[in-house]
Amino acid sequence: MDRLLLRPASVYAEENIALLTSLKAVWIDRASKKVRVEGGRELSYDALVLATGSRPRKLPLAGADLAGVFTLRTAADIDAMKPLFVKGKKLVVIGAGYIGLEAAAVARTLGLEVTVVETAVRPLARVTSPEVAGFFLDEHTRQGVRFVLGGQPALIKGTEHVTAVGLTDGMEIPADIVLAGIGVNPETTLAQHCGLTIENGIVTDAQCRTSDPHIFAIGDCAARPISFFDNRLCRLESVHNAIEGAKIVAAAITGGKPPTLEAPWFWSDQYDLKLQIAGLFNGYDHIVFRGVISDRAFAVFYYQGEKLIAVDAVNKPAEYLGAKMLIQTGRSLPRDVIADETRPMKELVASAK
Amino acid sequence: MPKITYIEHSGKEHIVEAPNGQTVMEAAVKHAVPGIDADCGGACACATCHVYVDAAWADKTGEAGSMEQSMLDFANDVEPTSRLSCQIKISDALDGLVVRLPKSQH
Repeated sequence: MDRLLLRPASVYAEENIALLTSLKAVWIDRASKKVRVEGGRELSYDALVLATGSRPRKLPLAGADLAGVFTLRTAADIDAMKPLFVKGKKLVVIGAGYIGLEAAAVARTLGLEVTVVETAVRPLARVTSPEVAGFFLDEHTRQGVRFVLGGQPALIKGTEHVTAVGLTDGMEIPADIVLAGIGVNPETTLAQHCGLTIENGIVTDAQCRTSDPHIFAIGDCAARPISFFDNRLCRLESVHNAIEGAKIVAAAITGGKPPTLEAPWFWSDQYDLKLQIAGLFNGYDHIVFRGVISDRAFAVFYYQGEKLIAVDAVNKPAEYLGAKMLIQTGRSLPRDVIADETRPMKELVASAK
Repeated sequence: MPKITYIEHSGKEHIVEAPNGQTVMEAAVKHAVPGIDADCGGACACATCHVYVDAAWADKTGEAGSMEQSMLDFANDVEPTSRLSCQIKISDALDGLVVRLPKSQH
């Protein structure tokens, strides 16, 4: 557990940071610049940062409260699930996003029987192309995961503990464990109560400043304009976004040098596959492969016209880092050039304009 | 516990005691050694924990794996003993290890 902490508690004291845990903020008084916490105490501020995160969506189904039905967000969720992750147990994963597929991979590796139910006709529909989704579908299928695509869960069956997931078409999937990986909702309650602008997350400018200039918002709870995506407002759920937001805010508050912005980046580890993603693929009109899928090491570059906008790299770290560098420096490579595997990625990146 | 010395680009030294099994990156982050960002937390996904292993220790820390090497190819100011510190596990054999930090991780 200690290994999961970003910093040990002692570091905060050394840096003169008063860390108040197990204390809930209940109200923001913007006029007097105070935060009221549980118990009535008030903390005054010159600058306030909301980093309230997000909450996993719960299944809106009868039976969702049965024992054995989980969402995945905290270490406590894992602790509760772990004793049930035993060889031969039946796991039904609802939702074929990254969380669902990563859980499916872990479960298969431990010898559970795994079924993934997804309402869309392919996995990862929201986050990647049909080509990359197809690869992951094949890999999981080869590992013994069963998929029900286009399946609509209707109810969770059981008396105390879950026994099955029923679908709208009458199909019933036996289950000892159900894991819902159907996305998160930004935690915006405090911001909402004090009247900050909300639009799928607490809206901020590029400096992470909310509609109140003394209040900032970062991480999963916030949406800021992303320069690599035509300055469109994005609420990115990622490690990179959380860290970068923190650096931006620290610079804005202290008057320090703002960080160099990175192209959004993400990763997902499944079995022995490391998927690394840079940029945002939404709005692509062409894809280019480097490497072939059957080698289980390939990169897919996403283009909008002549412009490289994103990469999905599977076991291809050089292609990932090279493309990330191009995207964040606003450079591109012609599609036939980037596909030329006889030239190393590093050389191609150096030649890009 | 093994002692690790981190030398910032400015020359400032940090000596840290770290348990076996922890990585050189983790020990630095946990003691707030500046200059090791480790944005991804050790998943070998970001290449922001780049260090130069002191030449005298290069044999003991071993060589970068292929994933790590590919990531290092894109780091700044790479040298022959460059490593990603998230991929170096601390053991008694590394007691006294000295690593230097690059000018910048980004």
